[in-house]
Amino acid sequence: MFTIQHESGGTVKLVGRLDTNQAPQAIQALGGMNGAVTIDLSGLDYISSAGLGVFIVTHNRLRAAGGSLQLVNPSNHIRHIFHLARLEQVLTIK
Amino acid sequence: MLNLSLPKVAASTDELFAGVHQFVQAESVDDDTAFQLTVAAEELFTNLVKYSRRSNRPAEIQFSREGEWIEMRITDFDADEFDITTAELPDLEVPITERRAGGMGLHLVRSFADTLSYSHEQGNNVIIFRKKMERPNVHDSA
Repeated sequence: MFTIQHESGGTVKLVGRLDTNQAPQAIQALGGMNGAVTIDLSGLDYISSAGLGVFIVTHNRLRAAGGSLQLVNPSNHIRHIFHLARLEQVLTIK
Repeated sequence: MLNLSLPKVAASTDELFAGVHQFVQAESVDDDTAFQLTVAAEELFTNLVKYSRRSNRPAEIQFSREGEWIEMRITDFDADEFDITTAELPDLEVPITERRAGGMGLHLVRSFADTLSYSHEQGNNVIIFRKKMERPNVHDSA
């Protein structure tokens, strides 16, 4: 299961599993967002390299248009994946 | 022990996830190890789906536990040689605008494995991913 919820204040919350099957849907859904985007990862249970690709693509698209991407509330498992991929230093993760 | 025979198509990943979940529940695998095993299984199987096209034979994936050790053995039949233990990894130091997801999965697999072996036997690629459980469940050690 994977869903994208639009919260108050413009924050987007990802819920469920961001795996190779869900990544295209996520890229497409996030592709409609612009400006300073905050994504709440507190509901994300799982991520693989395909999921990391979603954030790389989204970050690069937003930056190219003058926007930004901030990721908040990842679980320890998710944060560890970002760390191993050395994305912790280049993506804004709180 | 759990044996899966999965067609090398993207739709098989749901069955793969269900299999991993069934295995980690049955073998009382701790959460950290279960998470890493799931990622490794997805990354290795997805590689077969994307790149192993010489044969349409389903891949066999076997999960087993011996003491604190978890093993995942993947057999890709009639396959071209591809040694994942020596394959080039992506440069993780390049700027993010130059980063791609490709190859990152293999980096995660190598990071999670305590031992990772590859062999090409009688035309088949065999990958063995082994991991020692980080926190064996308390009730399981009694």
